[in-house]
Order: sequence, then C-alpha cells, then structure tokens
Amino acid sequence: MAEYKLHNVRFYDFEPKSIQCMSYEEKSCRLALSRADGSIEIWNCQDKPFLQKVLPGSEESSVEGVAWCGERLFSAGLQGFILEHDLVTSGILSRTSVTGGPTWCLAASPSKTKLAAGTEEGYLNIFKVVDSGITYEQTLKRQEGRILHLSWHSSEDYIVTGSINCACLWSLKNERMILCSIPPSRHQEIIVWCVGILDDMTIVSGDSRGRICFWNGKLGVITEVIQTHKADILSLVVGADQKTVYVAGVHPLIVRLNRVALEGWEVGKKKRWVIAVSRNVHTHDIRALVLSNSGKLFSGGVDTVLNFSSYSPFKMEISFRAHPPRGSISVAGAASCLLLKQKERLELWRLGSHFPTSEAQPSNFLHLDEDRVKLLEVRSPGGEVIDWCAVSPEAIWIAYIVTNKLRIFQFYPPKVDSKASLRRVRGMSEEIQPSYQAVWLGAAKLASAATKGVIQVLTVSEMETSVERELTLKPGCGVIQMCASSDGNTLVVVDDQNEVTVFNVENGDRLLLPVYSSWVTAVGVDPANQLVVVAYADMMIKEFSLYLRRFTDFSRQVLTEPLPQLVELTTTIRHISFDASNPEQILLHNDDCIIILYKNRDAAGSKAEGKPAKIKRGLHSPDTSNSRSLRTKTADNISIIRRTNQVLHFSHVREDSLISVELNPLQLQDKLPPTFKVKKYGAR
Amino acid sequence: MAAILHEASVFCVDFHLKNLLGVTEDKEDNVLITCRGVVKRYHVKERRQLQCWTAKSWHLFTSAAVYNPASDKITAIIGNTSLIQWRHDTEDIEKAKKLNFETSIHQLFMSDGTLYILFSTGQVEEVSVAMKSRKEMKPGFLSAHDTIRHAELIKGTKYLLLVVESERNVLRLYKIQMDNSSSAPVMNCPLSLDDARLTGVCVLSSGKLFTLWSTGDLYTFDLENDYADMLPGQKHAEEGSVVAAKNAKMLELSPSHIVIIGLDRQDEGGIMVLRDIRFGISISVRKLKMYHNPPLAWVVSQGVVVAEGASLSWIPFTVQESNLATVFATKVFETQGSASEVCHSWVKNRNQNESQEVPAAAVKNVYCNKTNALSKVIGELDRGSLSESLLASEVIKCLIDKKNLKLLNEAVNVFTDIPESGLIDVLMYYLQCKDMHFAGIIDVPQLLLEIEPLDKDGDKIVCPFSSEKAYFINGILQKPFTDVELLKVLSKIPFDNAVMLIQYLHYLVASGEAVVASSGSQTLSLCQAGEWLGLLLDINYHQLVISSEITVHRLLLSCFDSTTIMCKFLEHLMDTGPLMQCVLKGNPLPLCSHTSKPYFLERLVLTKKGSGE
Repeated sequence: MAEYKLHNVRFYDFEPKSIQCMSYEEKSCRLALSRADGSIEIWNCQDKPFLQKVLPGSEESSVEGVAWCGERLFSAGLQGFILEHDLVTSGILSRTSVTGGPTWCLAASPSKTKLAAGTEEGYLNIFKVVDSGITYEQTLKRQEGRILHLSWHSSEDYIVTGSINCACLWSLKNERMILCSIPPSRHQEIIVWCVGILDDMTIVSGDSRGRICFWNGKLGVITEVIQTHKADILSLVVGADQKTVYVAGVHPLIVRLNRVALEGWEVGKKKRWVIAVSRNVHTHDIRALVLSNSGKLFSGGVDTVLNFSSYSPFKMEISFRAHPPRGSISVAGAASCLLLKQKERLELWRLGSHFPTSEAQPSNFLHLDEDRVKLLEVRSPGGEVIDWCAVSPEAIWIAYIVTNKLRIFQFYPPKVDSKASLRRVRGMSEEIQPSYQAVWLGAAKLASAATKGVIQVLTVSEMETSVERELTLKPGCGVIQMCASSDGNTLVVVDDQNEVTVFNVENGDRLLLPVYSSWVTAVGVDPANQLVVVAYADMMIKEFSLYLRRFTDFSRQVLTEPLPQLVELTTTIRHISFDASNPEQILLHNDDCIIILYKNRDAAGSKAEGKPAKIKRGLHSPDTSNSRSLRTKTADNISIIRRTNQVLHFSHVREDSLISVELNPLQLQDKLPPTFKVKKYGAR
Repeated sequence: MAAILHEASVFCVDFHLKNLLGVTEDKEDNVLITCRGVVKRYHVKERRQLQCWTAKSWHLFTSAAVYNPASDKITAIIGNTSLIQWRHDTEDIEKAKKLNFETSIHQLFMSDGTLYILFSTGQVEEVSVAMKSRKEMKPGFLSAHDTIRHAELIKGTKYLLLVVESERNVLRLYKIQMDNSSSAPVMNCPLSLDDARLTGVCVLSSGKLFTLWSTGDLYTFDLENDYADMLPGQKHAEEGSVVAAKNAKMLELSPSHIVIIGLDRQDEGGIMVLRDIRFGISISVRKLKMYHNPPLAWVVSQGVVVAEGASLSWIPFTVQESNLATVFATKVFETQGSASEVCHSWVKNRNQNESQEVPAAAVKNVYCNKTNALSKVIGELDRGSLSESLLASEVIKCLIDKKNLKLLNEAVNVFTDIPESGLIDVLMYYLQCKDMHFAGIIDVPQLLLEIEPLDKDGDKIVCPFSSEKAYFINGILQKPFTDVELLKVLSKIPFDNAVMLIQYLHYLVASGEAVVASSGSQTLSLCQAGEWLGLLLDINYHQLVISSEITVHRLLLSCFDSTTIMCKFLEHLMDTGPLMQCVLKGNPLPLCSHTSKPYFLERLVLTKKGSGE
C-alpha cells in the first residue's frame, strides 16, 4: 500500500483569454491560434492535439490574423505591422509596416507565396513572401470602411474582402473591384464579418444579421441567402471539396452548409445550399474556424476552449481547455513550496502540513495543522509580463524571464527573528545570452535555453551568476522543453526536431534517445534509477535506461504499443514525475486525470490473480462533484483517477506528498461575459 | 430555376431622363451612356463613372454613341447630320473632326466589327463607305412622311429590321440587307393585327420576330421560313403581367429567353418580366419603381440597364437552358380548401380507401388541434403556407380586431411559437379590457383578491384584476419567451399598465399563487413571475425612479420585501439540499469538508491485493 498526502491547490488564478483567430498548416499538422492577450499558441495535431509552444504576447499587443506560409508563421494586428515569428526562440524575425494603419485580417495565398492584409482605412496590402521576410508588392485602391476579413481565390488572381454593408471582389491583375453591396436595413449598417470564395467565383459572406449570403462574384449579385444564426456570424470556412461551408458566430452554433443537387419535381437540377449539421459545442461567441483538408474542424472563441470536431464519416468532438504555458508552475520539492506565475507577478507559497496522529482518520480529507503561507510576491518592474519562472528545490533561488532577459533572486525565508526577504543577483556575466526557458539543476545551478540554440549552465551565487558550461544541440535545433533530475546531474532536452537529448551536466556528455514517429509531449528523469521516461502524442510511453543505454525491459515487454487506457483519453500527457520511495511507480497527468503507471505487475496486482490495483480514497467523499469524478480505471499496469477540475500540474513533492494544481471550470465561467440568449421552449 | 432576374442596383443618377438617348457597350465591360449633351463612360459593376465627354449646346448628340473595337474609337451623331469620332483618351471632343452628311442620320449600328449608319431615308451603309460619299444625298426607300419606330439588327446576320410608321399610321415591316449596295429591302409588308395596336417588338438572333399587341397577345413570326402574308404570325402567349395597352420594350437575353419591360398591371410603377420562349411562360419578375412611356432599356454585358425614375439601374440576369423540371419547379403548396397541409393525394386516397392511414407526420401541423371557430378564423385569413409564428401573429391581430377574448385565449394556448410582439399585443389588449369583459367567458377558480401584508404596518396586498382577468393574463405570462426580444417590445406597454402588472406579479409572489413548479393550467411559476417582474422593472427603470407617486414607491418597497424573503428562503433551501440527500441515502455525515476551499489536503491510498489494507 502506498499512502500519499495530496496537496490540492485550487487558488491558482489562471485566467485564459479568448481565442481570436486561427490558422492551420497542413504539412506539419500545426495549428496556430492567437488569444486576446496577444499570445500565439502552436498546437501540434499530428496525433492527439497538444499545445507545443506558446509565443508570449502582451496586453497592449493584439493579433487579429495569423497565417502559415509553409513552416513560417506570420501575424498581424492593430499595431499595423506584419510580424514573422521565430518558432524556435519565440522572438520576432521581421516586422513590416502595413499601409492603412491597424490590420484587421491577414491571409496567405493558396500557394503560400503571398500575404494579403486588410486594414482599418480600407487598404488591401499584398506582400510577397521571400527568404528574408516579406516584401511589399502592391496596395489596391482604397475602399470605403475597414476591411474586416479577406479570402484568396484558388487562382490567386482574386481576393474577396468583407466590410461594412458590402463584400468586394478584387482582381489583382487589373486592380478592379466588383462591389457586392447589401442594402442597409432600417438604417442599420450590416457588417460583413467573414467572407470566402469558391473556385467557381461564388462568394460566401457572413454578416451581422446572422445570414450567410452566396453571391455570383462575376455579377456582384446575391444568389442565395440562408439565415443560419440568430446573431452575428463571425467566422466561416470553405471546405476543400467546395461543397461544404462551416459558419459560426455570436450565436455559438457551428452550422455546416452543404451544396446539394436537389432533384425531382421540386427544384429540378439546380444546386442549392442547405443546412446539413448544427452543433452546439461552445458556450460563447465563436470567433475562429479552421478546416483541415482531411475535414477536421477547429473552432475557438470567447469561451477560451479549442474545440476539435469531425462530422464525417463519423462524429467526433473534443474540447481542449486553455492551459497555462510551460514555466507557469514550479515546485520546490525539498522546501515543499510552490511558485506560481501570474501575469506580471510571482507568488511563492509554502504548502500546508498535516501531522499524523495515532487516531485513525475516518475521512480522506486531512486536517491542516499548518495552513499554506504566502511567503513572497514579486512584481516585475513596469508591469512587464513574465514569460517563465522557476524555483530551486530548496526554494532559495528564484529565476524568471521577461522578454528574454533572465533575472535571478536569492530568497531568504522568514525566521523567528527576521522577515522574509529577497535579493536580486546583480552580477550577471556578460556571457549570459538571452533566454526563453530555465530550469534549476539542484541548488545553485541553472540551465538556461538561450535564443541561439545553446543551453547555458549557470552557476549562481549571492554576488554573481556566471556561465559554467554550454551544452549545444544539433545546429538549427531549438529547445521545446527541458527537464532536470532532482539531483541536478541530468538534463533532458526535447528540441523542435522532436529529438530527445540527455546531457550529463557534470561533464557535458550527451546521449540521443532513439527517435520515435510521434511528437514528445512530456519527459521525466528518475535520478535514482537513471531512467528517462518519455510520453508521446499518440500516448505511447517509453522508458530509457541511461545506465544500460537502451530501453528498459519494462518498456520492451509492456510498453510495446500505446496502452489502450491511455489511448482512450482525449488529451496528451503533460507532466511526468517520480517518487523515489516507490521506484515502481511513474506519476503522470493530463488535463483530466491523474495517472499512475506501475512498472512491476506484482506491485500493482497480479494479472494471474485477476485482481487489479484499486485506488481507495477514504470511506466517503463529502464533495459530490469530486466523488462523481472519482471513477478509477484499473488495469495491470495503470490506474487512472479522473478529476472534475482541470489538472494544471501534478507531481511528487517530497516523501509522501504529492501536489495537484487544479482549475475549476466554473471559476473560468464566472469570468466570461454573458452568453448569447436563445429562446427556450417549455421553460415553465 | 434555370433563368432569373437578380436584384437591381442603381449605378448612374446624374442625368435627365428626357435627354437619354441610349446605352451601348464599350470596351472592358464598360458602357457608354449617351444623353443629348454628354457621353459618359461607366463601369457598371463598380457603379462609377470613368470618363465623360460633353458636347456644346449647339451641337447636341442625336443618336447613341457606339464603340467600334476595330478602330478603338467612339462614334456618335451630332445635330442629326454630323458624325464625330474620338478615342478614349480624347479630352475635348470639340477638337475632334466632324463629318457632315447631306442626309439626316437616324442611328448607328455595330455588326460583326463593322459600323453601319442608318439614314432617315432607310438607306444603310458602312460608315467607311458612307463617308466617301457624304456630300451626296442618300436616297432610300422611305418617304419624308415615314417615321422609323423601331430599328434592330438581327444578331449574327447582315440584316436590319425596321418598323416604320407611315403617314396614315400604318405600320410596315422592312428587312434590309446591310451589305447590299442597293437600298431596296428584301422584305416589305404591313404589320398589323385586328383591333390591336403594336406596343412592343423584338427580333431574336434565331430570326424570330416577337410582337406584343395592345390586347396582351404575344405573336411570333419566323422571318426566314414564314410567308410574309402571315404577319404578325402565330399567337405565342398572352402576357398578363404588363399593361399591354401601354408601350413596352422587349429585349432578347438568350435564344430562349426574352424580357418585357412595361407598366405593371397589379401595382404602380413598372415591371420586368422574364419569359421562357420555349415553354411560353413568364419565369421571373422584377418590379420597377417607375414606368416610362416608352420604357428605356438596353442589354449590356450580363445585365439589363433600365431607366428607372431619374436613375439607371443595372439588373443582372442568369439565363440557362431550361427544361420541364426547371420551369415548373416552383409551384407552391395549395392549402386553401384543405384542413391541413396533408397532401391532396392522401386525402383522396383516404376517401377511397379508409384502411390507408395518413402518415402522422403529415397530419400533425400548425393547423391541427384547433377548435372549429379558430380554424375558421385561420381559414378566413387565407394566407397559404405560413410558419407557426407568422400564423400566430396574423391570427392574434385578427382576433384583437374582432375583440374575441375567448378565441384569443385559445390561440394563446394552442400556438406554441408566438412571437414576443404578439404576446405583448395580447397582453396590452387584456390590460385595456375591463374586468367585466372577462366575466362569464370561462369558469375559472376564484382567487383570494386581498392578503395580509408581510409587514404589520404595511398595506394589504391586493390583486388588481378580477379572477377571470387574472386567468387570461396568466395565459400570456406563462408562455415561453426570449428576454432580449421581449425587451424590444415591452416598452409598448404604457407605464400605468406596467405598474398594474408589477402589482399583479407582486401579488402572485406574495400570495403564493405563483407556485414553484407550475402544473401548466394557467398557473404561473415563481420563475416566470420573477422573470416578468425583472423585465418590467428593467424597461420602466427610469420612470419608476422619477415617479412621484407614493403608491408606486410603496409597491416597490413591498416587492423588495417579498423578494428578500424569497431569497433568504432559497439560500436556506440550498444549505438543506445536501443534507437531505445524505439523509435519503443514509450516508454518515462528513466530519470535515474542505473541498470548497481553495486549498486542502487529501489522503490518497493506493491499495493492492494481499497488502493487508
């Protein structure tokens, strides 16, 4: 029997922002989505979708459009610039100004060689994508009113734009425009929020009346109007087969329109657009829709949830809740402390404690003999947004990163005769390069992922910080995530080529793990047994012995393929940790569950005896919602504890302590604006 | 449908209609609009003027300007006898050379890249040829008393068709071969119909002549195969949409479709009718704001340009090959004379064979479950197929006009989808009616109209309506609604009536007449009462605040007391809920419950078989 004290942390005030726009890259199956705080998230959707990287933003920045041009990512916003992002270092590669001020929309041409941007002042800017960035190609004649959305024709000769009271079809060859004007009703202007164009020059527009209009692009006249929503349609996407259009908006309903050939006496052979499917998968305004060539639909909006759905040949809907980016939660195991990153401040908490007594505890909720204590609150000067934070295992050293600048502090915990204090390490060596990730390697060593693809091992003292060693990845590789063993001797790095490199920090030796076809989602190091455990997006888990330099027997015999219990889960593994006192257990978690993997069959219940391991959580649970969530799945090698709340972080702290940082979805709902009200029949 | 006239859009407004001479095609999908004093070059799809050439007041244009792609020049007639040509880059046409002819020019035509000139005498010549002999008279076959009423090229041929009115108002049809050096027409015959006047002419590229007569008859005549003495040919159809006695304009849109522009028979203004020649029926109609006698319309690229009021409208069209299915596709349901939308064939079959059941889905519709009286009202409306909300709206309006309270109550009960505006209309009508109007219509349970106040010093809580009226009003208040939609129309209720309604809702809440779970029989639930109360307070917020009436303030205070008591009750109820659940399940009470706290410690035990747990 293994008994743990689980620190259930629900006070982390994580406030995800609404999704603004999205773009999908077919070749690498990556989805870029921007949020209201200006950050851009890169989701890898090759297997199970997972958040691969976050490009940080700020409150002042806005991203109104993102576009992939091959492997390159561009964004535009109200600052009036088109930015090219460095996906390795999260920096900006190029910045190009746009004619006409704030940019409301951005789209790449079908061949990904051109970018079009629509602006507040009604200018349509065309840029050519070149190796060094983008170059100005042409600006079309100014139109009345802001350009809210645009779409390229497959021939790349035409662009359709959406504006106030009209949609416009632009010919790039002769810079001519065909106006598709919507007469305003009752002196109210009609906003064309989104547009699309089919190969046969049929223009599709969604407007503030909740109507989808199909236009004859050659003539500029409406051919069909379908009322699909009760409020503004904010987004539409045209299927690759040209026979499907998905629309959504303020009325949070995803509607699929199909072009069908109605036969028989009714309408002859004419092809018409009809409503085929309506799905209510969001609670609030849907602002962005993206459709892959294989028919996978991604949707997102004000409710901050990324929804992934597929309607044919079978229906599938999965919601991915927003998750704080890596480097937001750091646990100081030895000191039993927790460092939480808010927007522009850090909070260091000492976890509470329970002193066991001889009396049996009838409840599975333990009495807090010492409550949690907020030891420290650090605010970044000038209110800068903190991108990353890390605390050393003894909670003596705290590091955080603001706009690639590393700041290190020494923390003096409160004592009987002195208050807690914090002192910044001012003496930073000039060799220290700009950083975007950092993890502590034991007490006074810090691994910093430099923007130039180098990992610097820094030695930290009260007075200064110097570079002890530089660990290098393969040329051109950038760090996606790092993980250090608790003793600080081993550093595991996952790079953007999906390779896992294990560094010996002492001597700089490196070892490359065998490459697997799926992308790495989490990695962990067991220092006691010299093991590296890697979780992949297809839910495969592999265990590698650093001592033997090969996969362990457990990995070879049991983890030959993804465990069925894991494959059933909707979200990928986010974190891996170990309990040194129970080396046969691997502690994992994803968004919804805490997962315990048993390496020794006998330890978790013999298959031969037919009695798999069970998880017992006391006699009863006073929290009905929790007890409902406590449905455990047991098998020979795995136990899954489902949680009602979203699990943001789960790991071993020390001895018999575990920590689970969770977010109540209702807490998020309270912060969202009111949802669109629809009539409910029979509501007596 | 294979052919359709699309929505019209105005693109040119700055001209006077009486000066308009014609609209012709220019290069690059542009058009030339010729008025007496000016030629304008317009881009139709962009609805903007590109260029403009002005003539001097003593040298006005007399015929529509024509663009000649071969020479890339625009040609026009000035003062009936002068021909002027200029290029697009010409800024001042006064500087362009004018070629004077001895004979008056009627019109210019472009045919297969060649520009022809039609003189008033009926002579037709190529412009290049005519210019060589411009100082000579052009003797034609027409006399000085003849007037050319209609001149039209037969597309794809070298023939021109003229309808000429002679001195005695007799019409003659001439067919002229344009490349023939002799001016004699190849066809010359009278064009008339007994007791009818010619009001429209059109010749198709297929060589068929269509004539519209004042009787409404549309005749067709094959210019190539039919004998000339058969004119005006065979009766093709009868045009009923336009007033045939007034002049109409007929234009060819495709070999199988023509459009007729004339005076609307049903309404004021003009009308445009798209006719399918193959099936002889009209398939698309577009109303015009104004009718001009004669109508001014021209076919340009993919659209018809029509003079409408003081502006030019562009009406795009789509014409495709038609077949039986596309033409007869849009027949509407015939619901008149039938109790429901049940297919007539089913009804027929049922009469013949009682054993054959009508599908339930076909019988259950908005016309079902209505009393005979209400069905009669719906039948009298005679509006065909309507959605339930539209039908309910119409029926309610009708019943309010008839002041039939009993049927109104029934309509409110039986229709499930009543628009919010309809609900408010009925509510306002009920509030306007006096108590005695509701007496004796239906037997209703009597209410206790006065109850003791919650506060000892307060006034008695009084129901402002009689039991019968309250019963009717409950019927409205318990209907489902969308609050945002209701707020739009709730302001229609006068303030005094709104206060009365607030008083009634307060009475329902305080007296316990509004129950927690409504049984549905005209009994309001607390939730519904609360929603209505909230909306009424919301919409009348300012008036309630500034109201100086002491009764209103007392009412609001009393409302506040009631709602406060209710809130406290609900809070206690929420606390009781989990305990009740524990009691029902027989679960022991938890010793401590921290789960609502933001931080707590849990015990997590992993057990295994044989471990002694």
